[in-house]
Amino acid sequence: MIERPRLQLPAWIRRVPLIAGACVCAIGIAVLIGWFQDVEILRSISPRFVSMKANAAVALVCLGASLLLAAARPRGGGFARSLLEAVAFAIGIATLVEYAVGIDLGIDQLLVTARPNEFQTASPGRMSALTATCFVLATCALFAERVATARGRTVARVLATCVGIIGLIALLGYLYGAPLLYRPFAASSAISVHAAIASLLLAAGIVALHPQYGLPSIATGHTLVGTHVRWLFPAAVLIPLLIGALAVQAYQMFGVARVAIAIAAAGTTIAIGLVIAFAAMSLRRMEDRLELSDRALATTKQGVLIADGDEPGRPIVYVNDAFTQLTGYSHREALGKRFDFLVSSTPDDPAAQQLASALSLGSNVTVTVPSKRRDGTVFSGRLSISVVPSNDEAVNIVGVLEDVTADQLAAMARLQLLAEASQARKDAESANQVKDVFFATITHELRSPLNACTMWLDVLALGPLSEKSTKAVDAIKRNLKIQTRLVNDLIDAAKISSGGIEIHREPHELAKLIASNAETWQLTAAARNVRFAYHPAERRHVLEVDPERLTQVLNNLIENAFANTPPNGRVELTVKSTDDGVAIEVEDTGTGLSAEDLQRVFTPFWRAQSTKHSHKGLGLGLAIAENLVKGHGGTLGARSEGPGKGCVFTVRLPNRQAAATNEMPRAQTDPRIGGIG
Amino acid sequence: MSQRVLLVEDDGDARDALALLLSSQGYVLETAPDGDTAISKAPQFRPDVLICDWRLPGIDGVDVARIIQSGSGIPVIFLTAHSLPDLRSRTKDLRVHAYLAKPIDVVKLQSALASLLSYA
Repeated sequence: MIERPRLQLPAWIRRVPLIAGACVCAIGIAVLIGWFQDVEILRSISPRFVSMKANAAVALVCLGASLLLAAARPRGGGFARSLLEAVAFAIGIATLVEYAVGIDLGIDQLLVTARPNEFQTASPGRMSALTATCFVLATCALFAERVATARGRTVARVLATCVGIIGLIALLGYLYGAPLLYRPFAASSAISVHAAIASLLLAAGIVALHPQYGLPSIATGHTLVGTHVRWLFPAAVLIPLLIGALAVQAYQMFGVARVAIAIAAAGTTIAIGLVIAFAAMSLRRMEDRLELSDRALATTKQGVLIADGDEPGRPIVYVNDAFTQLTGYSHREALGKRFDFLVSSTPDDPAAQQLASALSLGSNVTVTVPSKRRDGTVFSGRLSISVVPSNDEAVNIVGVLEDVTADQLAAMARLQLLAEASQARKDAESANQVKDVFFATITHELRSPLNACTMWLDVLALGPLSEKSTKAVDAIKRNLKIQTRLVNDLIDAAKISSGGIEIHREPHELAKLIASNAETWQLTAAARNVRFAYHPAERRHVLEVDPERLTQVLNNLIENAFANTPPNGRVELTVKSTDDGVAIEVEDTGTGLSAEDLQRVFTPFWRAQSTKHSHKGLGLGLAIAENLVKGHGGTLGARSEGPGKGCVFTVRLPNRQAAATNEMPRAQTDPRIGGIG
Repeated sequence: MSQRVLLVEDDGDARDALALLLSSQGYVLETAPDGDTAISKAPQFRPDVLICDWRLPGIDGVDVARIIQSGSGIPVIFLTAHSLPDLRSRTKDLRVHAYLAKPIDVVKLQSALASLLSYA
């Protein structure tokens, strides 16, 4: 059984039986006091009205107490209630028997001795047959209410309504001055005013005993229907009463029954017409809203199904068009089927279990389960269920069904793409790693023998050496240097061709970096009989550079200048401040370059015609220098007035903030240096 | 007192030549062909400076320097045939006096050692 979400009911409705029971009790007690203390007004309210009999008052106290118990202790007080109801029932049924059979059972004057010729009383001390009927019906209603089933409640309400009608008619008789209504048979006593009021209260109390079920829940619920009932009901009660009073008044004024009836009919027509008009307008608005909901439900892209949550198997009571399109089942085929008839997974599937437990507990859940269409094809259905209280008895389960197969496929495809991309990255990384290991190995293998040779040559140079040996050591040293340079250039060229040279930038002061090398350049210049001059910048420049690589750039440029400058020539290194950084110029008075040569000067392995045969080297120095400068975010340019007029190489480097970046930059791959790696 | 140098170099030819060169300059030499030997010799030899090749069989030169330095705190001069920046980035936590690229310039090595001596 699904735990039923309760409708929100106003608090006062639960107090109605309590108040009614208390009032009924109070009326009974007041009448008894009236009899024992001889207070006329308590017995009959007015001398023109019949008195309530003492045994009727006792029955009323019993019924009122039973109602109070029912309201205060819905699950208890069974014995006390039985006793109270039995007394009331006995009094009622005994009185009816007296009227029916025409005998005196001696109950009428059991408590008080009746006065003879009492007003509107058939037999001394005997209550009205109507009152007795009310007692019998009310006790039956209270008993039926205790059965605690839907049928029991219905019976109780029908009986209570009968009690209420008897009370109402009698009360109208008093209001309109029509004795026939409160004393229909001359053989019976009249029903008293307080008995009529008590009957009405009893009826209201019994009907309001279980406000969560049936009409009271509708009337008091915060729903559209509830709102309508709440203002229609008073209208339905008050308008006829007022019209009746109007008719009575008209009869008294004109003395003609037909005129009074005509006025009553006209009043009724107008009043009912107005009520209907208001109700119709209000219902129209309601209908519009419902229609909108209906259309929304019918046209929504998601499949919607509604099932009866109380019936076994939770049969489907509604499906929308999207549901039929999604599943292939027609409306007719889907109605009456189990709520979860589409689910095609095995019962041990966690999603199916989740759905089953949510259905049995009445909780809301969203699951994705394999679902089967009418044609047997399976799709991935995302089903969101929510439990919706509909009215007093029923709970509906609303499901929203979506085909998420495409989403799942897309998600899977995305995952696969991701996996592929990740694999590709891994492959690239591992290829990179292989390459790095290769470079590390080749570098080590090429340089290590050079290192050992250099070391031993240094040992030899310690001497003492003959002139011939000194010459030999110098020659070997010179050639080892050239060899080292070639190896370094080849390794750099290979690195450039396969991903570029890594540049490790740190802030460095340019002047210091140049100064640490200037002496070496001076020595080289002296050895070559060339003048070397260094003109530092006027400002201090701190640049983000790789000191080794920038030194290599300057070395390459200056070596190139020395190589192309004849003895007695001049090589000048000048640092100039520019707007966004520095320009480092290496100027020589050497062989110069033609316009054609200038275009190819940075091409790897290219060497000027004029120097091709006179100089050693691979023609990689300038190409590597250009690549390294680019790796620093700078540019390397060359200019010359022409052959024989010397040339100027200019390195332009940006200031540190312009070049600052977290990522380790690489000098770019140069497609021109191919086939080396 | 003459400086004690522990030289770790796996290339025998280079190691012998370097040892000869430095001995002739008055340094007291101890050599090791690999990291394990160097680490086992260090406590007894008590070097003033460690000259260490980066790539060694077995324990890597950087780790050898880290272990010996953790015991004695002596400065280290690294030698390598590989790229210096890589080595620099891996030895930021060590007290490195100099990095020298192979082929080694003996003049530079001597000036590095001399400057150490002047600190001492």
